[in-house]
Amino acid sequence: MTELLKEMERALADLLQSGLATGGPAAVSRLEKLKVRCGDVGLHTGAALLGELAAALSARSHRVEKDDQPAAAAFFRTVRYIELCREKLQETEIWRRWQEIENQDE
Amino acid sequence: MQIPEKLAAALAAADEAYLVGLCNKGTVNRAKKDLASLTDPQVKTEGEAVEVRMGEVTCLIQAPLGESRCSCPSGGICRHRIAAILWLQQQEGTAAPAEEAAPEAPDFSELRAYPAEKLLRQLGRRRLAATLFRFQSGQGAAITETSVVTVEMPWLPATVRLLEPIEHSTCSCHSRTFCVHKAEALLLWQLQKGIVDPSALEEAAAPEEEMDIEKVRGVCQGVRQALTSQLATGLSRLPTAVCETVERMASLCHTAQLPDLERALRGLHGAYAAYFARSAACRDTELLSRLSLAFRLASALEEADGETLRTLAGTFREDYVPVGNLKLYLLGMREFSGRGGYEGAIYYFWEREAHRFYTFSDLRPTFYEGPPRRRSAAAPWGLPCPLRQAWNRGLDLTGAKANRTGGLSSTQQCTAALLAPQPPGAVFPEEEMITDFSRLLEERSAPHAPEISRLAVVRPARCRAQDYDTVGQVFSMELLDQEGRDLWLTVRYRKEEAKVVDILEQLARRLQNEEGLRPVFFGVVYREGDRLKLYPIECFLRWEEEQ
Repeated sequence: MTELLKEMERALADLLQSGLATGGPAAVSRLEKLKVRCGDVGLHTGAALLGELAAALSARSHRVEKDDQPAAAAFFRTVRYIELCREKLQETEIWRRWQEIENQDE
Repeated sequence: MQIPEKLAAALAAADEAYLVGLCNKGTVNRAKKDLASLTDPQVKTEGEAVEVRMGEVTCLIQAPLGESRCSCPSGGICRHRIAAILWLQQQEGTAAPAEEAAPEAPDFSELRAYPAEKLLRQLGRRRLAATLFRFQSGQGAAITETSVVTVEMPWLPATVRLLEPIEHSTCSCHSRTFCVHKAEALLLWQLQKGIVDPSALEEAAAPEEEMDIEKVRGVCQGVRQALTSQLATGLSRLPTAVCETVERMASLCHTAQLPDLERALRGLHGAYAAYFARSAACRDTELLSRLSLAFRLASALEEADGETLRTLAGTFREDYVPVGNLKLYLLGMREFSGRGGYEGAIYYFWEREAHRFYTFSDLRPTFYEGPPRRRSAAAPWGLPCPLRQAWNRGLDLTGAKANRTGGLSSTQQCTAALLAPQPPGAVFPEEEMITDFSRLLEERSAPHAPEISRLAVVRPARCRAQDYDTVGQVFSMELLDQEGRDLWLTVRYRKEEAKVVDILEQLARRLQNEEGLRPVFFGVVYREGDRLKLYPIECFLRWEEEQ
């Protein structure tokens, strides 16, 4: 799950680098794939958010007059979702690491 | 001569304390001397008043005595009026009795009936909170009652004499109006008498001024649209002028009374500046996070109203309330240069009795003028030396003020006594020292918790220095507890952190050469990925001995 969150964050960071105007259409398929993986591991909200972002990006590229607000809102909500998931996972991950260290020592 | 009845009653009730309350002791004493040399003044009754002519000066004495007039240019109650009052008292056979033989104290019905709401309006929320704190903590004023109520408030310092009618009360600030000192004195007296209920006062405290919702919405919409446009363009195509755009938006938020959004934008400005300066410490994930925070906050503010809007807007500066006397010990300090546009030093103290941390921040904004070329070191509370020279010394503060998160105010009303140097081990209690890192994870590492609740003094069982990460420019050291749990001491290289990295590298070399060296670290705990980390503020190699 940590790996998946990292990949989601990477995808969003890449989109921020290239911008919605340039990188948007190319990011759609990457986001769709991540959406499926999120659904597989039980991150249903994450899957819904990625789906929303992909749909907004896809709709944007088919319009003459661009409205970036829906895509931006979905983008920043997804960033926040990843942060919250990270925080929730962190304590468990630290305990897991310490447990592994303890087991190795034994 | 027949003195009008009302005036006769006022003269009979006015003892020396009352006359002193009307002006001051010096004027009364001078009037007594004048009275001794006074020979047959000309007196005539003028309606409800009596006119007393003493040489060149004519006084019109009337009830209440504070409203008497004199032909001299003095604005307050002058010695002529007091001399005339004393002379009239002699004629009536009611000469002002000495203070010790004062008549029965009046019931102060006017002072009792003075509405608390008026006092609240005059004092304001902050001053009211401070007054209530003083009253509840027993550090209130010295109040004495004779024919006047004398309230001494040493923290101001001011002495107020409350008398009836209330508008003739006097204050050592010499204000003729009903100044805040008089309001505070009256409130303290009413609290002492049980006339007002402290909890009711807190509830009735006037709400903060209303925000201009239309203006707030306009600014937030502008911020949201600007950030959306930046996201649409993409980092790789953004011009460096975006930094100024973000700073302008922060200034707009400041004028629209949106301090939290202003902070978020100043943080974003710092991240953009680091990105364009190609700083090694810059991460695009940080930019993601800062952009997201500013965008979400602007969106939430745009839709909020009433109390929610005020909560989301935040506060510019936290209120400092009196916390009484503190017994502090300066444990450490660090240079600070935040992305939010503030620079300076933060000092960390341990309170020897309450067993908690306090901080003192000596920070200055850098977003307008850039960093100052030369800064003078902070020496607050009347200290004889800069605070940084008080390292490893006790500091006894009298009349300290602190905010909710333990930040100390540099108020001049607080004074500090500097004690002799002591080793930290002699001051810091052993039970507060953390040797089991699971305690750090559970108690001191909650995400988003304020820094003060994530401070810890840590003594690891072992330390393992790591190779300097030249790619990420990170110094790290693995600290291990008895159970082998690891805590990572990490410092990312920046210009401001150069000294810290130097010291830690020296420590790493000493640890390799000297077995049995058990340093103690004081720092801020945080979580990153699957690791628990510590940002070091101070490292003690001789914890129990003199440094």
